[in-house]
Amino acid sequence: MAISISLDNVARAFGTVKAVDGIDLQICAGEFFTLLGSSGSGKSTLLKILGGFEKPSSGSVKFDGADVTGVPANRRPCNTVFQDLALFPHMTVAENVGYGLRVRGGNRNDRVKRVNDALSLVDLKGYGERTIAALSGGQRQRVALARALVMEPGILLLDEPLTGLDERLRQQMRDEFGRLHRKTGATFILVTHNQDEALTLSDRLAVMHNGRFEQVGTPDDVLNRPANEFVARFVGLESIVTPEAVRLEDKTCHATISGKHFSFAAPGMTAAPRKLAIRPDRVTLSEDGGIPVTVARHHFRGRHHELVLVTGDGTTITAEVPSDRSPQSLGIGMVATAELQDGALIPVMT
Amino acid sequence: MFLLRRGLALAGPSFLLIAALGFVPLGVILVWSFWSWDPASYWIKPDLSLAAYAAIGEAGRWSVLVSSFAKAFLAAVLCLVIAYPAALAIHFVARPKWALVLMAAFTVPFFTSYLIRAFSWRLVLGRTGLFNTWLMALGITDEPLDWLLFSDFALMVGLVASYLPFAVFPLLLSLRRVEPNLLAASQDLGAGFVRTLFTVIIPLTKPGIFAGFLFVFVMAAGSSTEVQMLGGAGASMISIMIADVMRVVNFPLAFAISAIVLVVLFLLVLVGNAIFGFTRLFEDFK
Repeated sequence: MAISISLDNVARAFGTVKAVDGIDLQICAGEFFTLLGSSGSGKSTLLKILGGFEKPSSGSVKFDGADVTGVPANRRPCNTVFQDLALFPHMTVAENVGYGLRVRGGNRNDRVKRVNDALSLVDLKGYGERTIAALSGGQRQRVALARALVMEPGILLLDEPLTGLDERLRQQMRDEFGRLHRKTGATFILVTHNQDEALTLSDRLAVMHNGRFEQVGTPDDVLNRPANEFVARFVGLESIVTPEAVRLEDKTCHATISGKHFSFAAPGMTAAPRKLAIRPDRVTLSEDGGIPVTVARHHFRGRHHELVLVTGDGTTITAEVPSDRSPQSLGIGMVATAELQDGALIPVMT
Repeated sequence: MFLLRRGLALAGPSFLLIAALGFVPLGVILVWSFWSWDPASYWIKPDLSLAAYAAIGEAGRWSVLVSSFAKAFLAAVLCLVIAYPAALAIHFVARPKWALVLMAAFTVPFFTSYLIRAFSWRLVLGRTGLFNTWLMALGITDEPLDWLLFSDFALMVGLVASYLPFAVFPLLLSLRRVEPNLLAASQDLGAGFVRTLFTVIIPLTKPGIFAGFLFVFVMAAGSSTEVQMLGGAGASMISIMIADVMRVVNFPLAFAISAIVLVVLFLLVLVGNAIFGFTRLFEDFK
């Protein structure tokens, strides 16, 4: 059965470095929760604290309301898919998957059946007798998943499990995680530095930085109402401008940027934001009518060109222009105006 | 191709050196073991004779061979039993600084000669030695224990003390190759340390266990100082037996004994490698 998690002021210091710095968090039973952050943000340490591999310096961890802070990893009702998978190289696929059940004890036939069930759950039926070395990267990933899921954990911890896979496999496994989450109903905690993974899979996510949460919310919250500049930049909103004037009126936000007036619907907003982020894919260039800008840099990014535009007061705005627009007209130093299409402006709350 | 040729060219001299220093003497031993000894001239003559091998069966030489191997086997097993927990402690428990101190503790006794080390055990195990003095002072025994020195017990103590580092270091090497995450995974799946030790750590350090066993076995089987200094009256070992035979210039017999030892050790290496894969110790991980 899925288990709920409650963290109360959890901290972990290594010497003078606070890897996790006073985290409070409630995760509901059955939720898919993601810890998103760059390396060194403390997300892996927090996951280790949840798994019981790391003891918090202070604070408490509760599973379904029961304090498990001092309970070691082997006695916690959670299982982990490790970043490097940590499959036992001296065991077959079936022995790897059945390891936890063997440790737990119980009927042999029942164990064999459950191992087979777990293998078919991850589409590896009939692979039981193979050695780990004979498997591809994606298959190993599935074995690691099966090894954790066969234990029927209340909480499944995923430590950057998709790092190191090629893009196609990464997307395949990502869908697989979603499917397994729905199927098992367990609480899934994913640690990743990849915002796409975080945004597509999670019910809620926490953006972590320097051992603290910058924002906790749904993917929609984080994408469309980033709490601060750090979060905005982390989800790909590089252009952040401070409007000359901004006011909230009738659930509509009115802002003046470089002398131009813009407004957008802001339902549920209680105060006017100090800063606005500009979505690069909603910026278009035109001869006149928009914010006057100069093209400062130009990068080809495959399906689009990324342009770094500089306004009169030195603010940079990033624009993504589809590749099928002629690149000849995108020379550096070109003077144009940037027009903001619907949905281009995203409030950055603090 | 170019790199390969250059590699061969670079490796060439050392290869020749190994061949000259290693394989040529081995070949000489094998060839001479089939020559015969001429009592008239007191020298060897070219021949294809099994006389030397037949002579091994005489004068209780077989029993020396077998008991030497048995003692070496026991010493190797004892070394492993002592070295494994020690290696675990150095690897898992000790912090880097302490690990260094512990490793030094195993290595420093090596800096003194075999002779001195073996002799120092006499001072510990003798009738008026440290051990007997303590035992009597504590009232555990009334008179000194005789079997402590000049016995197989003393020999075993000497062998284990001498060759323990040869077991510790291969074990440490193989322990360091066990991915820490595998231990975390085992714990994650519910196993405590003892369980993890037997299901993950020991199976994955088999190459190191065998390498440690082999090193101690080979060294102990070839030892002579410890036997002479600590062994009982008439205690013999292969190397002492060979030295005795050499004294009467019976080279074919000496070489035949050596050839038998070589064959046993080669078989041990081959069988051991087939079962334990100890050459994996020298491969790169993954």
